[in-house]
Amino acid sequence: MEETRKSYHTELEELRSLVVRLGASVIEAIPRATNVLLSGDLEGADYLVQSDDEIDARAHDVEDRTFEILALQAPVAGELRQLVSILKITSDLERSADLAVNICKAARRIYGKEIDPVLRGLISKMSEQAEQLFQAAINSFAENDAATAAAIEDMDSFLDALHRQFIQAIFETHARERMDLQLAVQLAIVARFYERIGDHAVNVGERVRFALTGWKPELRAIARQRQRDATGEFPITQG
Amino acid sequence: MLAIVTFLVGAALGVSVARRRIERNATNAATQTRDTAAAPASGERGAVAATAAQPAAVDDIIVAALDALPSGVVIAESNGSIMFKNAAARAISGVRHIDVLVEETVESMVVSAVHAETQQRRFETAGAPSRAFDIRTKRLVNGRIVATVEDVTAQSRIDTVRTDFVANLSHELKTPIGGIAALADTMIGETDPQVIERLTSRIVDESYRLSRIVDDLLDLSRIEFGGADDWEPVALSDVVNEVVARMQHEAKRTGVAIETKNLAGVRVVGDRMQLVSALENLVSNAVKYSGDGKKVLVEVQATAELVSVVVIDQGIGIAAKDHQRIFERFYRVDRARSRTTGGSGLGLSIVRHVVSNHGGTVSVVSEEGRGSTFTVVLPREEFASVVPTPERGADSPNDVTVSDSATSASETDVSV
Repeated sequence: MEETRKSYHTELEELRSLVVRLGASVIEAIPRATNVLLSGDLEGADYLVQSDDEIDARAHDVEDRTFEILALQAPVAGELRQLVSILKITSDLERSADLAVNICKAARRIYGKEIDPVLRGLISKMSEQAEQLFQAAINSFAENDAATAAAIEDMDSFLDALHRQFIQAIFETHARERMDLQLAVQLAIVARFYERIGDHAVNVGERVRFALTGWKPELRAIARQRQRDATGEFPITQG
Repeated sequence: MLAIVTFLVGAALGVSVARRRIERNATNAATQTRDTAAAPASGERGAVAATAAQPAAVDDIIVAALDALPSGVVIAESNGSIMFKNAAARAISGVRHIDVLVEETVESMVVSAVHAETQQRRFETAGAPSRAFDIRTKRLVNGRIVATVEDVTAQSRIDTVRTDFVANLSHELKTPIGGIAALADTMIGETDPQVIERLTSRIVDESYRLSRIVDDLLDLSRIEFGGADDWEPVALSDVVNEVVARMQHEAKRTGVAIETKNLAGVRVVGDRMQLVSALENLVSNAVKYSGDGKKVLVEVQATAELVSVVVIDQGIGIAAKDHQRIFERFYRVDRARSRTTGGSGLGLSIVRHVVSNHGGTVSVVSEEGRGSTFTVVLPREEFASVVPTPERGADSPNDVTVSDSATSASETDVSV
């Protein structure tokens, strides 16, 4: 007997659960990458680099399933927004896992070099903050919580502040001749990776908000442009 | 654990089968009764009905028993689809990423259980604090699969503490002994008096180091099993003054300023020597890990019932992942640095035992690069328990809880 076709809503729920699982793997990858960086764990770096292939495969699977539902079920309104959001969220998740891999690769490049305690402390804090942002983003997705999703952007400003503080600390440590230039540059790049992970978490939050309420961050820019069009004001005055 | 669960699950499934059989018999009996209207079988029917009702209760009891287990129990059909989860397993089905990852691991193991009679995997998460789960599966006779999930975070920590203790102890003792042997070996046949003098002085240094470790170990053991026979009211301000006076020389040598905010008249009941030794360890660490020009503040604060001694430094700080472990014997945050800073590696372990002997707690808030704050809280004289019980089970992780801190610096409490 042919297998009974799964109901549309079961498929949607399964898809959502796959996204939550993909999110969990990405959240776990952040502290793992930080451990690799701070303890110079080359074996851990290899493990994370390899497990990224699995994350890519899973992201691909989520996208395939989403296309299938879009094509076969022709969803509308909230469900259409949700499926389109899942496509974008998946790409943010996949990209964040890549950034965790980039942290591991940086850890390989600076292997054996001692990182100043102040910088280590700030790296730990950036990592914790990035992990918390992603946990909030995935929670808001799993629980359809538009309020949490909207708060992630504000939470990210703390990570941005840490990033600036870290760059300043790199200059100070380097000026005290306690760090060579190669290490300083690598650490600045690493800090940028954490900051980017935070930005992807903000993106996920925005996509969740869009799925639930139809709000898009681009609407703000569009409103500003309309305002300028109406008043004839140009964004940049050209001399 | 898995054996008990397998038994319970087997029993539950067995009971279900038995119940179905009995129900079938009951139906047959009822049909027969209808068919043979003449049979006066009301008594028998009653008996069958009673037998059928009883296993249902047993079934409920087994489900309740599975729900009462602290470990998660998951039962799956032979194709991997999950048919039952007990209360602990249902609690893991959240959106917290650890729950999601554990659930996912269980599901993938249930699917692969077709190929193996039993499987076992330990799943550990990163992050501070890290968590560990043991997941086991077993194939049942009817092809179904039972999986158990145990949170072994505490157990895994004990294992690490135990293996690290042995490794660290041998390292700490072997290093000076090896040094002494090598130096003495070099001295044989050496004729240059200057070289002999240098080697001798190094042997003396290493011997002192060894003797300090042994002294600390003996102290620790005395504190661990020591009673409270000769305890007396001790003015905390005297303890602070004595410690600061002892440390002043070392602080001046390294360019660290020690400030005190003392509070006269606050007393605790205890062993004065132990309290001095505990506080000295904290202040000595604060001085040792601060650089030239940094400050160390020793402050006594009091409430109606409690008194706390806070030691604040602006030193190198401690990474969050080490907060849970620094109170272990011989635990080193940075083994390479321990050679230059000296010390036996037992200081904080002594602090912890002294404080818990006195019915108090010690906690740390620290951030790498920013400094550390150690806080010892003790009951005031009026609130001290009459006979304090010495702490048992040294280094037991049950005494250590990491509390969520509002700031990003995490805090570890070690309490009795």
